[in-house]
Amino acid sequence: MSENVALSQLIHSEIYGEIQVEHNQIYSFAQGIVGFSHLNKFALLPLEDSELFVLQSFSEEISLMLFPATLSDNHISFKIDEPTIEQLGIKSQDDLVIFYVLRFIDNKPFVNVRAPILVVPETQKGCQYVISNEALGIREPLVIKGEASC
Amino acid sequence: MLVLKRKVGEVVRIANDIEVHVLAVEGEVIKLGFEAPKHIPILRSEVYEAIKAENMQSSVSSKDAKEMMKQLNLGNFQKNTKE
Repeated sequence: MSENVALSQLIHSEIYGEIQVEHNQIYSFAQGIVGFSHLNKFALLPLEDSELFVLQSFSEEISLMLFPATLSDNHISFKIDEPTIEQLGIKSQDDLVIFYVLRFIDNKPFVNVRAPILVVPETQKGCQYVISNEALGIREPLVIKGEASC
Repeated sequence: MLVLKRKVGEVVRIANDIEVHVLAVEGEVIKLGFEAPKHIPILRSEVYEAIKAENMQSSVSSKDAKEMMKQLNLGNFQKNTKE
């Protein structure tokens, strides 16, 4: 194995085993994610052949499944604050890609709409943004776009 | 832990740019006001802890991830598989 590959890195993931992560899949989270401020480097990997992603920490076994907000009918509206815009290196909120952390409880999918994962492909930066709206749940039933909620 | 006694209307200053104001005491409830630079997130501790716990519990292993994929019945957002 070569010592160093210029534009990709090896990462160990429980989901993927040893994988080569491309340079453009590496995201820097300056503030980490909530509860894990020391985790500042993540790989954003497409999950098998789906539209879902896995956010895999480089230094610890934290792997979050991410559900694209655009495919969900869990409506949230929020405005990110100036410091976050600066930190992510974007001009406006439109440059963001928004994901919800997905989890299953009793075989049902839930998403955290209070603290979405925001990533910026152009700058390869990201954060977990806690929205200051107490009405948003950290564990809400996922509503997939186009499907009636039950 | 540093312990300070303060009266209503008094202030605690943290570093150069954070102020905690004691605004009111109503029975067991203390109303606090915070002045801090915008980049300092201020959250109720239980919200922070709840999101942290949710992050931890959402972290998945390979077996879970594959199982979840099945359960989600990806349907309309399943990309063309290479099989």
